Amino acid sequence: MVGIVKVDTLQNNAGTSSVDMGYVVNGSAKAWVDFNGTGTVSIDDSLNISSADDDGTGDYGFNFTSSFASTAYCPQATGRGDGTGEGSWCTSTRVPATSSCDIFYFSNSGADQDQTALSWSALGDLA
Amino acid sequence: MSSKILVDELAGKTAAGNITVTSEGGSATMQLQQGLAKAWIKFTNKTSNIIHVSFNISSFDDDGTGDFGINFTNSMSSAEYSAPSSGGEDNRYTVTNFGTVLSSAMDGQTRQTTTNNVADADRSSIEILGDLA
Repeated sequence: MVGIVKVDTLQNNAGTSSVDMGYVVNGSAKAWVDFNGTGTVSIDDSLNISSADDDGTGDYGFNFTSSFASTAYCPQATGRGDGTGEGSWCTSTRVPATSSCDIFYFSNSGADQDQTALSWSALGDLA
Repeated sequence: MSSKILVDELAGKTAAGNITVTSEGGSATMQLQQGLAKAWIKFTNKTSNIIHVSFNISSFDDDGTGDFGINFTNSMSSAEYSAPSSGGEDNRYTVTNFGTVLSSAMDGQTRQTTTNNVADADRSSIEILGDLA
């Protein structure tokens, strides 16, 4: 049998630390992905990501299993490298939709660039 | 009336590692543990290496100019985790080029983007999302 507890605040038994459930729910990442963006792109691990799109060099999209309530969510991204040891870090998160988010990676010179590994996450309200 | 639970540990009933929470909009559910950051750190790797604030970080390594390592108190279940990050607070720094990524630690670099040089930086941040062991 599945159990449900309805609660507003969690507090440790010592009473020295507590957190409002609003922080638990709002402070949790609603989607994240560890992703290989070279060759045939692949998801190494993820939460709430149904699939990833390869839309071109350095150009990717992530599709969510459960959609966000609006496009006003907070995405974060890091390019973990292009595998050559050179800087390949510049990222932009763009075209946010409730059901997906496109991101774009480019080198410090501004050239489109695939990533051997990248990290992406989003905070916000799910629908 | 607000409600409060006094508790030191939360665990799922059916599976200890799976607690479901309902979305803000009420139409979706998600696994609580999966969405929680498993480690985070704000650090400076300049003349003095400083961990300004952190969670689940046991130590910080200075591996040379701009090269750093962070070590986890509790390891991740594998090296496949997400590590969104941001560079120092000024002068267009970034965090990138994660070199050795292990379940117990990871290496990275702080770089100055306008020069493409590895450089020490003030107050960079990394968040770790994924599964703990």
